Amino acid sequence: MDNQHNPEKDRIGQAFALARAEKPAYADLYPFLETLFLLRAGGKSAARPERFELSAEHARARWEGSFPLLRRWEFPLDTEAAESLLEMIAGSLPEDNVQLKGAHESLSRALANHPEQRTAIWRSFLQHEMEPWEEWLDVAGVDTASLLFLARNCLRPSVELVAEDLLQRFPIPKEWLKGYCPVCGSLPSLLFLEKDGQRNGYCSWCGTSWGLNRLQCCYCDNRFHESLGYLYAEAETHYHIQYCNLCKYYFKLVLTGELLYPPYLPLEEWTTLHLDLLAQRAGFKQPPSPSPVVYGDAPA
Amino acid sequence: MAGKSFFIDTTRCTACRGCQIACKNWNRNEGSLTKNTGSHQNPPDFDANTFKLVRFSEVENEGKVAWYFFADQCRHCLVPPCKDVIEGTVPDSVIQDEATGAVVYTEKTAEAPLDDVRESCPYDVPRKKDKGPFVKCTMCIDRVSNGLVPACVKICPTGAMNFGDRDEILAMAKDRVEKLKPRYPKAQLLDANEVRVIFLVVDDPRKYHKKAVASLSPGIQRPAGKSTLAGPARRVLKTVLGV
Ligand code: SF4
Ligand code: SF4
Repeated sequence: MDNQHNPEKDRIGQAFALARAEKPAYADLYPFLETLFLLRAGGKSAARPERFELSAEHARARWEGSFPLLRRWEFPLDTEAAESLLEMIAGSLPEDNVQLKGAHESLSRALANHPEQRTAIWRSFLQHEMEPWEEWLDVAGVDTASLLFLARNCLRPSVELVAEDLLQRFPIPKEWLKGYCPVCGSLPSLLFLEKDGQRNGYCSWCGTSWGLNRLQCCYCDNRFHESLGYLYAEAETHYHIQYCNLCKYYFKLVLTGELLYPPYLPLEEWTTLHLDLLAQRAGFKQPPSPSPVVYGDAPA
Repeated sequence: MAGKSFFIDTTRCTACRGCQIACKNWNRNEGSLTKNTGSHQNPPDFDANTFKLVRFSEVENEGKVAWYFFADQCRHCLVPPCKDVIEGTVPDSVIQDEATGAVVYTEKTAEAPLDDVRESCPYDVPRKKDKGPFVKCTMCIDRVSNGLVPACVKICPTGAMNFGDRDEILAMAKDRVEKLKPRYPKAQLLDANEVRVIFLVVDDPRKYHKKAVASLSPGIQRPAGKSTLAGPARRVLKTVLGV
């Protein structure tokens, strides 16, 4: 484990301290999520995924053609780093979370039983339209959502590092105002509005942030103001649920100008679950993750 | 603990009064009965329903009229003289929040003597509700302890109102003074070492408001050029003991 000071870990600690005071309703989630995010942050300093080779011309051409730089299954991965993260997570799985424990067991067993296929097993979780991991994993009785959650969390450090490296080499052009991530084409898990009015997306897959139009549905690109709106709870005016009346999808938005500290978005994804309920009760749907514009319509 | 601070950059203020309204809104304070006094400043002064007040001053600068705006409020002194005076009569009635440094009056302050309390504050901030407690800005302690910025800061559209950890705010304020100095040689921070609400002005503070700095309050002086943390304590001695 790294002994170096990691500012990301400080941010995580601060975000959880605030959340514990501010949102006690989610108390049950905090111990596991905090450990998970800290492990992910540590994993990120340790992971060394290969560089994704791309020329400047190719990057520009992709963006000009409205394509992201790469597809989810093209991400280089440091599978060893993912595996050590999987091992470390074992000790902090919540006692009563049978699904997560089952998923952990199944994945660990598959990796142990097929050592020569480890890379293929890990890479299989980059897919979203098929379930290739079933070739190696015993999935009987295993909850798919838990399995994906676990595997993709272990891969997240690699994915973020690849995205960050690409963005360092190729800064996102200002004109990229698509509703999907310029790096991987996923839809945002959250939106955030800065004090100066700049609206941004936060990628659900690789953690990239990018600029959006102020009025725009990230799912169907509708920009007609009369069919776009938002809901909010009076006690939490720093969150909006932005919906589109054409496609009926919604996105959660954090107004960061109201917050004392920059929000830690991976945690906000969880501590805004009550807003999902609110949105869904109002008849709106949760967006699927990879954008259909890039990946085609994925099964629900 | 360093706690929190505000930085109020008057050069960015457009006097929209958003902060004044946001403050009323958050604190559920009613409107104040007021009348036209020939100034855009409205109401004319702090009152029991107005904890934040944008002061307007018309000044003459080299033959030209200039408007100075001063979004006034309690400074949340590091060593608050009002606390000492109030608690001289009613012990434990003023809270100085440990995490933020906010000076917050409780209902118990109702019993404290009006004149003494008003006089104790070098910025003439505290007001009293009819037969009720003393009132003033609370640093939106209920918002801040939930990770939100104060209502006035949230609303300010120009970046005049800023809030955060004291170290960062002090650095931001000093940096801004340095940037402004070449164009405004009189750019200065007001009582920065003694208060948590740090104003930046670019002219003689008197031109903004007669109580913009502590040293402008009659009978309350700090040794010239020697602004120290002991300042507010000295003010208390002066106010309470007349020394
Ligand atoms: S500015 Fe006045 S009211 Fe505010 S803490 Fe200081 S002395 Fe008290
Ligand atoms: S909200 Fe900002 S710009 Fe408006 S009056 Fe207050 S300090 Fe000035």
